[in-house]
Amino acid sequence: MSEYAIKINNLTKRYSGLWSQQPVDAVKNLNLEVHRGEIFGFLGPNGAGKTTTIKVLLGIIYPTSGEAYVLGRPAGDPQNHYKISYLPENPYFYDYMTGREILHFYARLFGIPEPERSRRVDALLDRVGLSRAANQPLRTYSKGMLQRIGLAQCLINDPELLILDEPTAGLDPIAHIDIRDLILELRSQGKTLFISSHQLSDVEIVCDRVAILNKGELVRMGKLEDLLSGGHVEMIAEKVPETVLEPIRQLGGRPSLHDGRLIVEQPDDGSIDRVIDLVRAHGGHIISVKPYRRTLEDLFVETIQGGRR
Amino acid sequence: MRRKSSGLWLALLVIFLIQAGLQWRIHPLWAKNYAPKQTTPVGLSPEQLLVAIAGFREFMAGILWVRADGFFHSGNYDAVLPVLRLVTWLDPHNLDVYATGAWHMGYNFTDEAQRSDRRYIPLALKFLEEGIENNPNVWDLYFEMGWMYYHKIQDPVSAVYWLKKADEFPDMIPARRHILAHAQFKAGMFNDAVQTWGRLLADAEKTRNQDWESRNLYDVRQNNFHDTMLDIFRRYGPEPTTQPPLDMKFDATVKVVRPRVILVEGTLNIPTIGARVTVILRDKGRKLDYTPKALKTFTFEVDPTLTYMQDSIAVRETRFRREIDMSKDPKMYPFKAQEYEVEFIFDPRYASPHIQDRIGSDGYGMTDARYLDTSDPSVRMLRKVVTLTRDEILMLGKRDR
Amino acid sequence: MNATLAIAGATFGEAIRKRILMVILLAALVIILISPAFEPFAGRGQRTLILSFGFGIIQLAGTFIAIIMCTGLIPTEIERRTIYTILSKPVQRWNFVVGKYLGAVSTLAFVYVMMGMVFMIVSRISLGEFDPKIAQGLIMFFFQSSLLAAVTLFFSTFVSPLVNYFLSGGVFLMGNLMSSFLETIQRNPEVTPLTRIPIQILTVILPNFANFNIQNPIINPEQVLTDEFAYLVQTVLYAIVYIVLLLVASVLVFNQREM
Repeated sequence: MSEYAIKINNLTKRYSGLWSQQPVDAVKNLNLEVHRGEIFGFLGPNGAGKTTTIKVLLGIIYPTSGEAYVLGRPAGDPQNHYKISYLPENPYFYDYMTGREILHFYARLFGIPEPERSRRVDALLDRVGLSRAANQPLRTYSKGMLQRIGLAQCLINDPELLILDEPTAGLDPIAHIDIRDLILELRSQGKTLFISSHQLSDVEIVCDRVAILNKGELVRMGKLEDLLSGGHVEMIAEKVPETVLEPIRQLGGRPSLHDGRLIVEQPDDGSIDRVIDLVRAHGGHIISVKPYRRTLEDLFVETIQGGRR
Repeated sequence: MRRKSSGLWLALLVIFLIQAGLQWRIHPLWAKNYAPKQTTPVGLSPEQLLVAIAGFREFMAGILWVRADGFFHSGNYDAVLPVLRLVTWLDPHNLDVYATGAWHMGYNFTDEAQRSDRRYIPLALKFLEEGIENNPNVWDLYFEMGWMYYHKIQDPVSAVYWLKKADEFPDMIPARRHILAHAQFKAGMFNDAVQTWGRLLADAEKTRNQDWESRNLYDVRQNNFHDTMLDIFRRYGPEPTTQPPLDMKFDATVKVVRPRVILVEGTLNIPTIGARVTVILRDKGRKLDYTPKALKTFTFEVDPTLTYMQDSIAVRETRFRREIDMSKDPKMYPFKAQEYEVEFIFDPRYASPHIQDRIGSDGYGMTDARYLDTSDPSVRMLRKVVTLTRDEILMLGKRDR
Repeated sequence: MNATLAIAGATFGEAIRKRILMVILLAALVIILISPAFEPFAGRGQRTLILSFGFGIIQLAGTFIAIIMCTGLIPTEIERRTIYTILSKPVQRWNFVVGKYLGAVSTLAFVYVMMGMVFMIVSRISLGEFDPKIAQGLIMFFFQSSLLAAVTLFFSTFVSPLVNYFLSGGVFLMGNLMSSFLETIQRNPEVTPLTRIPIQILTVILPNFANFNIQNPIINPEQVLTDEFAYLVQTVLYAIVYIVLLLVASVLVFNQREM
């Protein structure tokens, strides 16, 4: 068994224009590994090549060059499809069917026989909290309910790998939390989750590792703590005279003072102790000192802008 | 991983060859069984309804009309009539449909020996009348009506009535105006005929130098004008060729030779060729009413119980004779009535000019001891009526008459 | 096979809820029902009228439903991304194509059964007799529509729905007319082989829809037919073989297709 859930080597996908358009590389020389059992965030703005990569992984499109392996087998291998699941962005399901019927439909695609099929469908409906709406047609479902039925269809085959494309797009904050909890629960069961997203929310915060894609190219990849570390410390104090400003600047900090209230951004290199001493020595009163990590959002914006430079 | 599919390509080729072989076998059978008999560029299947429903009513009527024509050519007359109805219903201004439809009804529904089914003539007239009601401002259908009386029914008096209406339209085809003058002459309206020719000649004179056609028209009208004057002068002038009256010695007999087969023969004292005797066999007392008003509404139904046979026999060396077989068309000749009359008519109006020179187009120069019919003031005809019973015609009791 | 049938079932369920298709079906049913009202126009050709009218409407409705339904069959699934949830399951592309087609054919069968029942009842009442040949004609129309559905499905694997309407409609018209055309040409001694042979080749390449138009002798029953049974068997066989041909071609194209 391969240690990677997904391994992508030098993947390029080129769309050539039908007539005289310039060919476009949707994905360029992408290298990526996703370990088993982790939550992998696949980030990037719209049009970065995320969905293209996913389609290659699913065998819906074919790479121009390079290769992709899913669960140790080449992408598109029919055997893979028993063990993976996919939730597209803003999924549409046959909306004349009820929640129960659509799950039966997807279960039949796996050839799951009765009565096992009904047992699994009922369990899943319960799990995503749709038991009461199970006999309503999907066209009466809210967006959040559709997303939950989408997740339920992803779980029908008890997959090893789930590929979720923009799972929180267009959902309200409470639904975000529901999805996040479900994702964490799935990880605790040992499943691998590959989540693509163009926006940042509390869902991405659960990712163990992220990759950031821009214009088809990988610009950052790593553990979330590593990518976010290297910040600074923020201190707030009151009753501080102007005379401390110059010494703080000499210590490498960025102070700002209004009506005796001081806010300092100090590099996270231990120099904050000396700043505290300085402020106290000048009769200042410390309100708070806290480490300031980069947010994922900062990282994202920073990276994309870096990529655009 | 792109799917390799060379096996499928091979399968595709094999299946293609199988279907081609099947089609090759199917076509001859199709051609035999289902091909339209009259091959038109547009097939006869109802995909044309597609167009009709899309709102192209007239276009559809046109296609249906093509279809009716196809039915006609394949001899499927019963199918023609509903299509006619549908077409004129979709497009009541399609003059061609009215004209040709009436012509079909008047002329083309025939028996084995090409005798037309005259029971359809009142229908044809009604159909034309409806066409005229829908299209009162064009000359065509008035002319068609006139022509039907002039040529098919041989009633020149009624023909004059309709042809005069057509003649009022300035855009009527010039040559067709001549029929009015001919009809007037046949109807015995000699003065009117001369006047009409004179007027037509004067019209033609205005344009006679325009082109070859106008020149030709002028010549034709001039000849006709002179001939008409000459005929009247010769036949009715100071030394009339029509006097003294010629004794026609007309007689006719009818004999049933086999069930539903009659032999008619007789004499008419005209030694040259060019005279014809009309013979009609019909249910006793059931003369056909050839006025459009005879039918209240248009129908495709003829009385299926009515037997009505009409034929016209040429006279050679003062004798005429024909065997008329009505056994092969039970639809046309049902023989449901108990009694039948066989009417023999000699009508001088439709005889050849050289015969008319002797007896006059109105019968002025003929007489007959027994069968002269003077009931119509405009023409003297010869008429003899014989009656037969159903039993006699079907030879249920073998008696000759 | 289970997956194929599941897809067929979903396709059928969706098609019979598609408003445009049901409007066409309903309109056809209403027209068939009121067709006896045109009897006053029919005269002695009452049979001709009722039957040709009914056959015409049914064929027309079947044609429209087949084309409208099948142009969207695959493009719609791609557009709303359902196809990704299906193809990411252990479903081969041929399962998908064949399932879609079977769903379309089931819909056609449903539509034909509805129209056929109404038509047979109407003709039984207004003609006073039941002619089993009517059913024969309807079955042939069903095969015709099924073949047309396969043509449209095939085109839908590589052209847009709008283009497909014209392509399928064009193939249907040509397939209806080319036999007549070939006959005309074969009867005309002045036509050179240079013209005749390409047309003969065309008639064995294109799907021949005229084969299924057997309504004429049913409407005008006095005609005498040669080898009618053999003809019907061969024509049904032809439909099936040609449908398989188109499905294999569709799978070949669809396998290469990127969505």
